[in-house]
Amino acid sequence: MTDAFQPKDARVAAINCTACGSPLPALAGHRARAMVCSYCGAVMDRHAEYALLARYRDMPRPDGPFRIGLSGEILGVMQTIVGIVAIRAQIEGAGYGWTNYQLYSPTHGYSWLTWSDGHLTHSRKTRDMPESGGHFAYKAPLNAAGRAFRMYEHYVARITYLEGELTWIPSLGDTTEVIEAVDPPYGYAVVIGETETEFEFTSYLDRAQTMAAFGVEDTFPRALGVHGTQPFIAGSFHTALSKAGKWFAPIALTLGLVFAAIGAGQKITETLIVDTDRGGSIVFPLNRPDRLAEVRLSANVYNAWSWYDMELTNEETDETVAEFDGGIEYYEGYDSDGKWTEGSQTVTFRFKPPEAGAYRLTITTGDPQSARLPVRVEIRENVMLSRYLFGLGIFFALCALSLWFRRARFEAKRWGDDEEEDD
Amino acid sequence: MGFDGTNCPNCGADLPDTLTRAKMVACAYCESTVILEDDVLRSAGEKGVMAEEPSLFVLGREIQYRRERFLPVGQARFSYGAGWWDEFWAVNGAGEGVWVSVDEGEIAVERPYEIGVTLSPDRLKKGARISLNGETFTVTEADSATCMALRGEFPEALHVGQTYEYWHLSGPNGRLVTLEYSDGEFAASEGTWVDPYLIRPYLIRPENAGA
Repeated sequence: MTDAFQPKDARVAAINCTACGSPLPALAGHRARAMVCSYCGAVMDRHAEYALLARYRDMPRPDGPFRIGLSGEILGVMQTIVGIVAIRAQIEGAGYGWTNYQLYSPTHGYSWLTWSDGHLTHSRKTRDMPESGGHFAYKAPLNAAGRAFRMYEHYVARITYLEGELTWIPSLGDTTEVIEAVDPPYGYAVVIGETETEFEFTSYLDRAQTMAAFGVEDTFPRALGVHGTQPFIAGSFHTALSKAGKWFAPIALTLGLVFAAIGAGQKITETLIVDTDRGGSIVFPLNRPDRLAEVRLSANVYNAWSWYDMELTNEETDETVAEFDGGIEYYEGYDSDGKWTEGSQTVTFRFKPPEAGAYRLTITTGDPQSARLPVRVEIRENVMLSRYLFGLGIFFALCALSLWFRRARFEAKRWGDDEEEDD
Repeated sequence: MGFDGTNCPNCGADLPDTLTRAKMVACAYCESTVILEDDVLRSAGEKGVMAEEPSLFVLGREIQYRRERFLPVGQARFSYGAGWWDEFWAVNGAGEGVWVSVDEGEIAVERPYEIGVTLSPDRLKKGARISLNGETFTVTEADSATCMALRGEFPEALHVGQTYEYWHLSGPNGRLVTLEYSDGEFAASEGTWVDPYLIRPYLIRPENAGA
């Protein structure tokens, strides 16, 4: 255990259990009603000289990182853990359990720190009643405490463990009906008891920060699933990436469209080479050495292929500028799915001329297996490629959408109904 | 002739000018409380021992709750069965006086309330239902409290050692009415609960200046 995780114990006053005599810390204020012995399960009335009211032996101690006596800051308020209550509930047929830690602050009173599947929340009593509703309806709106909550779950909570100082006289097995609603990172609960209905306001807590505040080293398993009140936190890098994507995707796609519209360039010349065995050549001027030029070959190849070797030379110096080779192949036919095609009757080569001037393109059919067909040669310059911009646009759009997808997946996990997104 | 004496009749120390608006003040220098009656100051008794306890309310320190702000100017501490609570006499932003009761984070702001009916303390049992001004209330707490200590100034005379019977009445939508009975008379106040997590020190910011 490092120095940073030394548990922070509150000043301890103690009383002796009136049933077993064990020393028990007395940390709460005068409004706490019950003291439950950590050793023998005796429930004592703090307002009646610790009179013994009940005794619950062998209660199963719940899982959780905290213990009575630890102090830490929550929501800017120094709080001390004075009691523990474990709860079990059946929610939609499945059993769940969580641990409530009774907190006490001399200035802010009593509240709860809850450990549920590795998530931490803070709940306090509120007098802000719901403005509407009263019956549970999944995802139905519930307006209270100035917030628009949505109903999340409805269950009956049963007490399975008691310890320490509590604000009421509890009994093991006591049940309360609870309706929970969420508006992350907040929650609102309607707690319907036998004699009265209370309301609670919940805040989702940062686990690392909270455990550090209480001086507890976090050696516990990672939190399971998404808690009802857990906020979606994207992370600064992903947020920045998404923001950049939102701006740059439309820019890249717009530029891509512009390039597609005007980027075909200007045709310089065009010729048909009929005898490709002998080959042929074409001389043409190129005036834009700063832009791409293009050689486009088209041949009426059908269920066959043809291969072409090309050499581009500077007409004035006879220096070889570039060499290309490539084929045109095109096949089509029918199968059980209908007509199919493969390949293309056109192939394009692009190059950047080193300088303005006259160039010669020599073309031959190099491979003896190649089909011998007339080939149309077209030379263009000032060509702008839009496909890279479209690629970039799609990349940025995915960056922007990835955050939306992540959030949607997170919300689906929260509500447990991936197939039922109704937003 | 109006009131112009501003010295404690017990020790002679200066009393705050606000005594002209308050009815009672605890002298900051001696152990006495002073009451103003018919423009005459007279000693009203001892102010008692006020043990320092952590509190969101401190005399002279203005606080803000939602859109309201309160300046506590008087603090009375009462003991009751379970422990004790503080009643602060505070002035809000509109210059009106309100009572703020503070009991381990249970905080209510209360204003004077006309009950409009004659009540008998014998009828006010815990759980009893009472109709006040057309609303039905349930008695949720019935106890007595004794004044332990006084600090600052108050709109009425309070005395250390005096015992008051009180009842908390809960109505619809979180409505709260407190009844007090002392010397054969009822006093009533209606209140609203305050979330202590929303209380902030009132900071003088440019937008707050002159508010």
